[in-house]
Amino acid sequence: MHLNTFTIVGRCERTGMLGVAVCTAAPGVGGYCPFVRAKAGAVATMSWVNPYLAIDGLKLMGEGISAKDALDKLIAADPGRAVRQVGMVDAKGGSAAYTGEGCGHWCGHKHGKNFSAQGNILVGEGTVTALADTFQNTAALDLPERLLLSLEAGMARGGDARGKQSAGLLVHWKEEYPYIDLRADEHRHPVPELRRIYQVALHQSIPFVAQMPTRDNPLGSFSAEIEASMSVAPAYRRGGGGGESA
Amino acid sequence: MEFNTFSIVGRCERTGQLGVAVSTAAPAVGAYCPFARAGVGAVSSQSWCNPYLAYDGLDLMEKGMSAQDVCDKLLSEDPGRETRQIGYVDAKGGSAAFTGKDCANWNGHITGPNFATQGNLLMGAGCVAGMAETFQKAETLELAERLIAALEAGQAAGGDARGKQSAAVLVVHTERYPLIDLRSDEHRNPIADLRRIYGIAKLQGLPFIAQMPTRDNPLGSFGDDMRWGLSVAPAVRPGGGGGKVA
Repeated sequence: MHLNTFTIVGRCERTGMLGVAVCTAAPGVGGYCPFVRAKAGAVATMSWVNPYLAIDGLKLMGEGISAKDALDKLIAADPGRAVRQVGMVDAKGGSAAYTGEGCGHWCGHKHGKNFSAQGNILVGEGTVTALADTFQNTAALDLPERLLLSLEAGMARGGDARGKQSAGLLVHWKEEYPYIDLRADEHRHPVPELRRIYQVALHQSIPFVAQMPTRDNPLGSFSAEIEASMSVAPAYRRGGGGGESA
Repeated sequence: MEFNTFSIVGRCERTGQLGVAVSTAAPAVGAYCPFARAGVGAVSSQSWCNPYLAYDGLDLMEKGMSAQDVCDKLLSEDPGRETRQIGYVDAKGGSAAFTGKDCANWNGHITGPNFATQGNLLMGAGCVAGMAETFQKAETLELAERLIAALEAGQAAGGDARGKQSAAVLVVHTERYPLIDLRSDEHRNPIADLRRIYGIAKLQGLPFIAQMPTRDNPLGSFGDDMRWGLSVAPAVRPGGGGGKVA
């Protein structure tokens, strides 16, 4: 799969959260490009996608290998390296990115402490610069909000030269399951659609995920207030949304 | 998180594909409920959702334990078992399901060779029965198509008593990454939207995923027709969709 895409991979210095936000002009980008594991790292794999660069990268970073060493090792071993693009951030905030010489123009990346921004077949360099600048200038915000703002700034600078079709936001924190994992898989305006879904999920998803069983507390917690808030139809909840029964 | 949900977990006898389709009246059910691992098994974790029943279940099935033995073992160890609902299918087609006595009414499950269907806080028993019947009758279809058809039958029989908000289909085949991973995370008619997205992804996603690197072929393949197919804007591709450049 060829994902001409722009992405921001980031880590929150305060909380240790790790995540990826992505947009492209192909359907369902969230299924193949962003990969994250709590306390290990986050990866975006793009262009002619090789998901094993991410799957194996997270395994290496989980063993304590830095993002840079993991990426160097995996790219050196990939016979398709000329057409790959990858960004990685490890659990210590180390970052690395790679853009193969066969990626479509404009292509490139910019990385620094706690982040990596990258894209290919873009309208221009401004998208990657905007991703990086926005991420660096929003350190006080929670990571999901910060990644989403960066994606919006990248989109505003033109984004994918072919148009737009899907977007995704994936953040892990302490558990094996995600803290937030949202997708707009096929939409005319996937980044605003992702923002809309995020605003609903802030009220109707995140409070509940915080109550789920953890490795340390297999029972999880139960709040009657939260249970009651979800017992009504989506339209009557904070944030609204959803539809009626069949 | 409480997913008052209906889902079908299934295996294709011909191809060995494993997958889950699910819908609920909460946002982004695809992030926390369906789990599948190629050659191992598929799981749907719902009601007061414990994702570790799925992660640990897949690990046990990978070691050769049957779906029924996994279900018995993990639920007996879960202090929150009476609030859980879960369905498992293993790589040999064995299946098991559990519905805790504190799950909201109507609740229940049906299992058979290669499938488990389950739901809670439903309009009635027809939803789970409709999914089971449709899955069993649709064996000539590809698994993703079959799972979506079953989900549609469940919705037509009433679905979630609170309404509807999100839906997802996840199918794995031979690789560690999914064959199909599509979601409608916040929509008035999420199953209809999932069907629409699937129709586009069949033309613009699946042919490309088939060309991705595998464990046995780390280069992947590159067809010129494929390269063209995604080089143009989504709207002018087969299946259409997407939007213009920002």
